[in-house]
Order: sequence, then C-alpha cells, then structure tokens
Amino acid sequence: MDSQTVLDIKTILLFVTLAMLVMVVAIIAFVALYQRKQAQQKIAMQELQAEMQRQLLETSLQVQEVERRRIAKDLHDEVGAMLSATKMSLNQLIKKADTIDLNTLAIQTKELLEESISQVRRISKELVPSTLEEFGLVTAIDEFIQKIHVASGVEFFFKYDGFEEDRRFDKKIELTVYRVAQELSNNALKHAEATEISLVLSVQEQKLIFTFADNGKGFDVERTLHDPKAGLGLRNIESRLSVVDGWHEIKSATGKGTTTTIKIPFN
Amino acid sequence: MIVFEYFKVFPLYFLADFSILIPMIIAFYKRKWLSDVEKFFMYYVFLVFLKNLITFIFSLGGKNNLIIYNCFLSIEIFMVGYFFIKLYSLRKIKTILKILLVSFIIFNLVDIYYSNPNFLDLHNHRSAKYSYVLNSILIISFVLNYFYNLLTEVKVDNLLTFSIFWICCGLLTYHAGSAAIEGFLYEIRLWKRNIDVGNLQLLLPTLEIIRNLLFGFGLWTVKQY
Repeated sequence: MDSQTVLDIKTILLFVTLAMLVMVVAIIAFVALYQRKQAQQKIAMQELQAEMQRQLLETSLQVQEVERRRIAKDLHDEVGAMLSATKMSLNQLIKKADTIDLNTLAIQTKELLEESISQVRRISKELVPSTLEEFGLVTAIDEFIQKIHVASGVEFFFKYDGFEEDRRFDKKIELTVYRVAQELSNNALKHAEATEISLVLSVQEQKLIFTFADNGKGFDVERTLHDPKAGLGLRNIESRLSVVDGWHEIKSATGKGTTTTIKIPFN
Repeated sequence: MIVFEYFKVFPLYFLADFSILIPMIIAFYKRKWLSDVEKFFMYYVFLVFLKNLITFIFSLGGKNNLIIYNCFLSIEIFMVGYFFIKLYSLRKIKTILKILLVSFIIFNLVDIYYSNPNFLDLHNHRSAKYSYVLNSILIISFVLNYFYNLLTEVKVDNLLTFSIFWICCGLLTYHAGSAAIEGFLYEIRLWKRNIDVGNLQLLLPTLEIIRNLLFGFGLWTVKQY
C-alpha cells in the first residue's frame, strides 16, 4: 500500500472520529441547554400556579370575611331588632298579666329572650372582630381572651413586646393573627383540655412573631399533619399564613403541652 | 520495575487503564450518599478496573489478552444496560432493554466463536469482528434515549449537578469515538489492508481518560447530606 493511501486512510479516520466527537459535544450542549430552559419554564409555571393558588386562597378568605360580616349584620340588625321588639312586647304582656301563673311564665320567657339577645350579640361580635378593626391586635386579643376566661375559667397570660399597644399592622396580618389565635384557643380548649395558656406578641427584624403555648395534652404533630381526617384546624392556619407569606412551627409531645410560633414578615 | 518500563513506553495506555481509579476512589468516598443506581454504577466501575488490571498483567507477561476484552463486552453491556434499566420506570422500555441485552450477549459469544475458528488457541486469539461496534452503538442508543427522556419528562432541576448526566456524557463520548474508530478499523480489515495508523492509535486511550474523568466528575456531584 503506497504512503499516499495510508495518509488518506489516516486523514479519514481522524476526520470521522473528530466529526463523531463534535456531534457528541453538540448533543451534550443541546441537551444541557434545552433541559435548562425547560427547567426554568417549569419553575416559572410552578411559581405562577403557587401565586394563583395564593390569590385564590386570599379571595376565598376575603369572601369568608364578607359573608361573616353580612351574617353578623343580619343577626344584629334584624334578628337582634326583632328580639328586642319581642322583649318590649313581652314587657307589656307582663304588665297586663292578670294571673300569677301567667306572670311567672311571662317572666321566664323574658329571661330566655334576654339570654337569646345576649347570645345573638355574642355571635355577631365573634363573627366580626370590630375591636380589632377599631383598636388593633393587642386590644382585640386581650378582649377575646377575657371572654374565654370568663366562659371557661382557663388562665391566660398575655404580653406584647417590642411595640406600642396601639401599634397597627397591615389589616390582613392583624386579621390572620387574630383568627390563628382563635383557632389555637379553640384547639387548646376543645382537644388539649388546657388549663393555662400563654400568648406573646413581639416584633423582631421586621417580623411579627406570635407565640401560643398551652399546658394541655399535646399531640403527635407529624401524625396529625399527615392524617387527612385530623389537623383541619392546622391546615386552616397554614392556609391563612400562606396568604401573608407567614410560616409556623409547632412543638408538641404527648402530655407536655403545645407551643406554636408563627412569624409574619411586614414592611 | 517492569510497570515503570511499561509506563515509559506506553504512558497514555497506562493512564487510560488506571484513570478508572479516579471515579472508583470518588465513588468509594461518596458511597454513603450514592443512590441505588449510582451504587450499581460503582460496581461497573470496579469491574472495568478489574478488567484493566487483568489485561495489564497479561500484557506485562506478553500474553494475548484479547479473550478478556472480547468477553468483557458482554459484561459491560449487561452492566451498562442494567444501569439504564434501573433508571427507567416504564415496564415497556425495561423489557426492550432486557431483550437487547440478552440478544447482544448471545451475538457476542457467537461473534467471538466465529472470529476465532480455533477457539482454544488463546495465544492466537483475535478480536470479535462486529461486537465492539455493536456494543458502542447499543450504548450510544441507550444514552440518547435517556437524554430524550430527560428532555421530555423534566424531572431534574439542574443537569449540571446531576451525576447520571455526566456518566452518560462519559459513555457517549467514549463509545461514539470507539464506534467510529472500531468501525473504520473493521472496514480496513475487510479490505485486508494491514496499515499502521500511527498516533491515531492514541485516540481510544485518550477517549478512555476523558470518559473516566467525566465519570469521576459525575460521581463528585453526588450531594452529601
């Protein structure tokens, strides 16, 4: 075989191998770049979905608050007014009752009616935290725990730190903390059978921190969060916090009470 | 001493044979954090090292080691193929891969037998004619199919920190070069021309070193928890 043919063969071999390697590099570069682009699109899509989910949740909570307000107004303005009118009418009836039996019965009915008016007022007030809107978070929580203390006898310890009593936060943040406090109090009384509850509100590094601790039965946090039948209240708290970019941490063990800390950033 | 002499005469071949120690050492260092697939790949790397060591000892003793290379093709396709089988979740793809593996192993054994009419004469043993090219083509197709899956399913956030991607890059680089070189050499043999390709012989060991470095880099990207 002459030297020219050998040279040709060598050149072809080198050319074919290099062509293959160039193709490999091109394929690898294409896969890496295309996949990166797709991954970025996927992340953008996920963020968009999360934002939509958040907005949906926020709208849902707003609708819930509007509906609560409407029900509270109806209860106060219509049912409450009707009950007050009935009470006035009953007062007239008591004055005109000519027998002792009738009078006693009318007084008993009046007591039941007063109780009903009081209940309607309470429910109406719970549905719309007007104190929160007018005086802020500290006063609203204080009023709220006073009522529970009177009704259940549970001891409350409430303190705030790092801000003035009349300090106002964003409306959404105030409402979230208030509703979370309601939910946690409900859990502490209903499920944990707590006798002492401590609440601390503080501000640190542009974050509102709310700590709720009880001396109740405690529970298995992981198990409750993964049980679809249980943990509805906790999921409700998570949903509310996600709307204000907040997060929470629960520490609990059976027989050792529960401590929940929520943190919400604010500007 | 003889090892040093070998290194002086064939430095690139020596480095190609022992560069497999790089991914092996990294895999051993990261063994606690390797996934099942990566652990399986670690066994493959160990087998490559074992093959390189045995063929190296044979060549030091001036013995024909082609039988080991020929037989290792079946082991390699089994290990690499099973590595990809473990990566897929679709039963259909797994079945196709298994059929290809078994078919190739049978083909390889037949190819070795027909390339060596006097099979028991190990001293004059020759390379299998078609198996090397077919082995490379199969591995290239496994890698390309896996790349296609990576692009369509988008399960990985960042390919550059994904060990399997770099392992596939190593396999693809080496076997694309190998398929070209082996295929070309086969054509030359077919024409019954015995030529010395000179420095171009060094292409394969160079690709082997690149492959091993890519394997090493891939295993290095495995996250430590």
